[in-house]
Amino acid sequence: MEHLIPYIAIGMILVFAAGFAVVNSLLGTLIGPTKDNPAKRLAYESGMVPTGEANVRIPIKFYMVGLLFLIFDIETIFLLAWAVVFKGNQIDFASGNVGFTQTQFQHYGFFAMAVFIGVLMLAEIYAWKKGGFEWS
Amino acid sequence: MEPNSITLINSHDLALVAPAIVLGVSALIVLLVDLFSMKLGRSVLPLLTLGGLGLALIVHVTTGYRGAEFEIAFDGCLRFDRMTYIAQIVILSLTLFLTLVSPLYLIRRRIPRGEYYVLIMFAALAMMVLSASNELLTLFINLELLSFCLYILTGIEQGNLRSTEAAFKYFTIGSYAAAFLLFGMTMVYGATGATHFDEIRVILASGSLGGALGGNSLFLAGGFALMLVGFGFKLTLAPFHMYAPDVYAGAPTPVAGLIATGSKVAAVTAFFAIFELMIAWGDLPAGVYYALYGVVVLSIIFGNLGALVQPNIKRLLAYSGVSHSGYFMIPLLAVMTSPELMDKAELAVTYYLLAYGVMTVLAFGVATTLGPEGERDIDRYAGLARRSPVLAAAMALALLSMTGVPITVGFVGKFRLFAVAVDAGLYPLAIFALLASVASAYYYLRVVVKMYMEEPPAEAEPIPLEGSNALALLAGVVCIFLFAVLPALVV
Repeated sequence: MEHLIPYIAIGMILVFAAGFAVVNSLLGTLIGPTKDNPAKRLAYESGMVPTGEANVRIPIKFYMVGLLFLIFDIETIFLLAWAVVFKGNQIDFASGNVGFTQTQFQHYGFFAMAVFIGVLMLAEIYAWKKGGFEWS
Repeated sequence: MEPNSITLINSHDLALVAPAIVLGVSALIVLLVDLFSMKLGRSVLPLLTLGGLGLALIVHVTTGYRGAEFEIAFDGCLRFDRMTYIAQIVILSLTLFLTLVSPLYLIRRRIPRGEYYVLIMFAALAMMVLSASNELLTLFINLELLSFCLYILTGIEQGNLRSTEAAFKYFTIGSYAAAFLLFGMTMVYGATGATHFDEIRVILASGSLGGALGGNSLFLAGGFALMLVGFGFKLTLAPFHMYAPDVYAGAPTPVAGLIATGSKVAAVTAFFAIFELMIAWGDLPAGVYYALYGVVVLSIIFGNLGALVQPNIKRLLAYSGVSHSGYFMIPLLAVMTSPELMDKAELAVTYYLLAYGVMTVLAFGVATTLGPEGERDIDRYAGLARRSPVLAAAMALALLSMTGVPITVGFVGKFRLFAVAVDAGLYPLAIFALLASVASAYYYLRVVVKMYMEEPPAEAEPIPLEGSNALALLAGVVCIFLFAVLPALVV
């Protein structure tokens, strides 16, 4: 238990701070005068004066943009990492630890990315055809 | 992996995943056909889907795993063994079956057909790769791909509030389960420093844990426990089963069939791989054993009790699925007490994958064929034998098989599961499971009695049977008998 002794001070500060806040706000509500008027119920200074009800239907067209953004975002993320290592300059092909040549590596990389982009393009065609790019 | 084993993609690996590639390409073809052929092409979609699935099945049987003990592909990310091989055949066949019974149902319910077939095929693809996963991330990504397809399929019936509700419930609870699973994986990775199962197995067997968490075995046990919870949701094991009845009842019936059978078959296979890791760890805390024991007992109790009072056939099948998930885990408990039973347990689980898949999908197939009536109360099944003898017989057979009546796959499957428990000396568990299985006859046979011994409702008419549905149901019925009489055909 000895190792906890230095923390007693911190505990006391916590109790004191919490107590100070609670006591002050309690005193405010108990002793302070409460006079209500309409201006007090309005949004403060920079806020808009509320009109209408909160239970309205909000169009969520933006979700489609968000969804499409995801496609292109993923594409970018993969392309960037792929482009950095595409040439294979970081790999020591001569060391004998690697079972393929630099050309093979590049062909493989190109093919793999072509498949990826191809599938992604199908997704774009699908979204386009289904009207995902139209804002109305 | 040693440095000199670095290779690019090779034909051996490609041959092993060829069925999955066939499925993926055909799914994309179906997507394009649906997009660009306005009206005339819609009726081609089920044919294309059937073609893709059939081709995948043929490719799988002819080029896949060749009976070696196991084969590794893609730097150890995928592992193909006997269980995976059977599970993948079962998955493809189940999907084929559900595609055969779907077309009329989809037209009646005005479900967008293009998306439906594409998602079914992507789900099948995910299930296939999931059942072969041999690495934590591969497993998780495929589980998520499968889950996303199923979430969308559950809510694919636009404007149907129950379908939407089911999709929302499934999505939120599924995400919750995925978080558990992922957190468990993080802890296992932290404790061992590896994501490949083969490496984790070696590290666990050596007894010296590496990893960022300094070999703290508490994290490892916690990780396995969290993964058990995550898979518990996917396998609808009690107490994580609460969403299943609502989801099954709200989802379109063939989709509910896919969730109940295909995804469970794939998840059991994937969980078995995780379980092999647990077994490889000599210091597995007894708590994990007792946790799994509790889950099994609870699943069997809740599954059977819940099914007793269900008025809706899909909810009944959901609860029956909960108890069957419990039965699936019995051999795992047996292996935990006596590890030498591993081989026998693997065979029993593999056989039950097929048995459970066949009988459950047959029940869902009949419910799909009955259409709107099949999803309502069990009372609507009254006198079904008069209105459609074929459908009533198929349903009765599926339910009898689930009860475990001899000369059905259900009997042989349960017998093999319980035999492993008896071999391990788990007599109380075996007797309990046996009694629960006998008690389950009450609610399964209630439906059979209704179909055969009660009068049909006054306004009821005979039910016509489509050719493709009849073909699928016939295949299901044949399988129930065939694999019971000749279990050697499977394993």
